[in-house]
Amino acid sequence: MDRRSFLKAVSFGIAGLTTSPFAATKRAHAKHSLSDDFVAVLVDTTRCIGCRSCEEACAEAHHLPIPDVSDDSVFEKERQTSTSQLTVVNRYRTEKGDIFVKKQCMHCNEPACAAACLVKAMQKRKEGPVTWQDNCMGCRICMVSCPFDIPKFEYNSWNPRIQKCDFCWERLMRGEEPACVEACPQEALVFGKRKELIEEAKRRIYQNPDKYYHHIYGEHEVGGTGWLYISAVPFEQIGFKTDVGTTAYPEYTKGFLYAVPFVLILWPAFLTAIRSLTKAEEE
Amino acid sequence: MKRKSHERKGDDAVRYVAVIFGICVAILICGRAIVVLPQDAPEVVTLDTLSKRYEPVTFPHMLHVDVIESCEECHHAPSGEISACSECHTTPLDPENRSKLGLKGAYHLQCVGCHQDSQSGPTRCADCHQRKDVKSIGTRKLEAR
Repeated sequence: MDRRSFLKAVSFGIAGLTTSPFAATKRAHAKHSLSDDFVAVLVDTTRCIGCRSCEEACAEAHHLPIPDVSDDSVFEKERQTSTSQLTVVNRYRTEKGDIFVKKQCMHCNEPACAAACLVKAMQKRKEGPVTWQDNCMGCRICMVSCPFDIPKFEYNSWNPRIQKCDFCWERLMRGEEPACVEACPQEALVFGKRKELIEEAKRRIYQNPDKYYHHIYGEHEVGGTGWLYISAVPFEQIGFKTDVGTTAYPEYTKGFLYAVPFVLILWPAFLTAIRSLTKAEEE
Repeated sequence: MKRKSHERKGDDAVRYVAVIFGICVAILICGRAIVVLPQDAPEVVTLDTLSKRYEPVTFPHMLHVDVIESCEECHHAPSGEISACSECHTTPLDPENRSKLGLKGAYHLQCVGCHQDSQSGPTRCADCHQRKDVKSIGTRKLEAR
C-alpha cells in the first residue's frame, strides 16, 4: 500500500466515526416529527369516578377474566397491571378529594422496550401503538427497560407471552376506538391524534386554570408518550413517576450502539492498513 | 334513590299539582311566555341510546323539575330553547369539536357531577342502571376463542 491509499483509508475511517453520531440524531428527529400523527388518549383524571368500566371493557376486548367492578375493596391498595389485567384504576386520597387514575402502557413515542427488544417482538407501530408479537424469545429485557414497569410476563404459562396494553391494536385496525375509551361513561378518556389532544388538554387547563394543575403528563416525559394525563393535583400525589426526565430512553444508548458497528469495522481496517504499510516499508 | 321511586307514587299527585300551581303563578307574575311548560314535560324519560353493559336508565324527570330551580340548569342550550341532550351532543363525540361533550359524557357528567356537587343522588353505576349480564358476554367470547 502506498502513502496515498493509506491516508485515504484513515481519513475515511475518521469521517465515518464522526458522522455516525449525526446519523443517530437525524433519525431521532425524524421520529419526533412523526409523533404528531401518532394516535393518543387524553385522560382527564378530574372526570374519572372510578367505575372501572375501562377495566371491564379491556378484559372483554382481550379475552381476559372479567373483573367484578362492583367490588370497591380493590381501591384499598394501589394495584399494578398484571398478565390478566392490562389496565387498572387506582384511587388516591388527596387534598382535593379522592382521585381515580387509570394505569396502562403509556405507549412512549420512543419506547425503551421496543429499542431493547432483540427480536423486534416489541414494536412501535407507525400509527403510534407499542405492540407485542409472538416471535418473542422470552428474555424479558422489555420489562427491565420500561420506565413505567408495564410489560408483564406469564410465568405460569407453558407458552408464556408478554402481556401489556396494546392500544386495542385489532380494534384500531378495524377503525374502532380502544375498548376502554368507548366504555368510559364520563368521557374521561378521549381518543384522537396526539397533537390534537395536547391542544385539547391545553385548552382545558387554560379555560379552567384553578381546576387543573398546569402540566400535561406525557407531553414531554421520556420523550413524550401516547397517553396524556391532566389532573387537579401535582402528579406525584397520584402515583406518577415525576423523575423520569424528558429524554427518550433509547437516546441514552443510541450514540454508543450506533458507534459499535463503525468501531468493529473501522478499527480492524485501521490496524490492517498500518500493518500493510509497515510491511511494505520493510520490503 | 331506589327507595324514592317506590315511595314517590303516593305524593306524586300533590307534588304535581303544587308544581303546576307554582308555575301558573310564575307566569301570571312574570307575564312572560314560557316555551315549554313543566306540565308538558315528561314525567319519566328513558335514556336508552347507549346501553351496552347496562340497562336503559329510567330518569325521574319530574322529581328533578321539582328540586332544580331552573330548566336551563340542565337544558343549557345557547338558544334558550328546551331541547333534548341528544339534539346537540352527538354519539360519539365530534372529533372536530372536542370541547363539546359527546352524548354519553354529557349525560354522565351532568348527572354524576350535579349529584356529587350537591351530595345527593346516586353516583355509582348500578344506582341508576340495572346491570346487564356482562359475565355471560365474557364467557361467550372466551368460548369463541
